[in-house]
Amino acid sequence: MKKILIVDDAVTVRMYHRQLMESMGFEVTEAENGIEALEKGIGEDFDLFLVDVNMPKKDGYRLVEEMRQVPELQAIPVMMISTEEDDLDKQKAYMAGANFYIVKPAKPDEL
Amino acid sequence: MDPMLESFIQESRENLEAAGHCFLELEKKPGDVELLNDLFRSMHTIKGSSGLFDIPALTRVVHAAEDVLDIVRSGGMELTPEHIDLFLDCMDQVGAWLDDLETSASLPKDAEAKGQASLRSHERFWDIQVHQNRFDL
Repeated sequence: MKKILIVDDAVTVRMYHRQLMESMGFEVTEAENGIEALEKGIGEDFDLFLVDVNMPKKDGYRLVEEMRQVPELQAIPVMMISTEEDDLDKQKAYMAGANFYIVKPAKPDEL
Repeated sequence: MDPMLESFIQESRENLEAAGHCFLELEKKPGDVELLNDLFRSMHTIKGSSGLFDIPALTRVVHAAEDVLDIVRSGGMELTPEHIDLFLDCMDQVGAWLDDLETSASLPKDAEAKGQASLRSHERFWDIQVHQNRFDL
C-alpha cells in the first residue's frame, strides 16, 4: 500500500484529505506543521507528501526546501496545496522544490 | 451531524477565540508582527476549511477580512480602529453563522444578503484608504 504524509495545521482539512486519500488506497499519516513532518518523514518510507503552504512554526515552503537537503527525503514527490491561485505562489512552491501545486480543497480528479 | 462539519465548527470557534485574543494583545502591542501573523492564520484557516462546505457567504466574508489583514501584516497600512470594528463585526457574523450551522447544518436564508452587506463595508473602507493614500502622496 502506498504511504502519504498529509501536512496541514487545519484539523478539518486534514480530515477531508485523509478520507480522500484513503478512498484512493493510500495509507495516511498526518503532521500539523513542518517540524512534525520532518520528524515523521525521516525513518518512514513515504511515497508522497501533501503539504499545506501556510502553517505555523515551519511553513510549507521551508519544509520542502529542507526536505530537498535531507538525503532520505529529497527524492519524495511533494504536492503543495494552498487556497491561493496566484502564479507567484505556484512559482514559490516550485522554486522551493515542490513537484505539483494544487488549489485547496483538492478534488479527486486532480489527485 | 457530519463529523467533518462538526470539526469545522469547533475548529473555527477556536480560531475566532484565538483572533479575539490577538486583538486584545494588539491593543497593548500595536503592530506586533507575530500577533498579526497569528491573526492572519486564524482567518486563513477558517477560510480554507470553509471551502469544503457549501457556505459561500461565510467564505467570502472571511476572505475579505483575510485580504485586509494580509495588507496590514505586510506593512501596507496600519491596523486602525476602523479595521478592528470591521473585524469584530466579521467575527460576530461568523460566530452567529457557526451557531446556525450547528443547529441546522446550513446558513440562514439571509446569509447571502448579510454577506454582501459586509463586503460592501469592506469596499467602502478600501475606497477611503485608497483615497487617503493618494492624498498623502
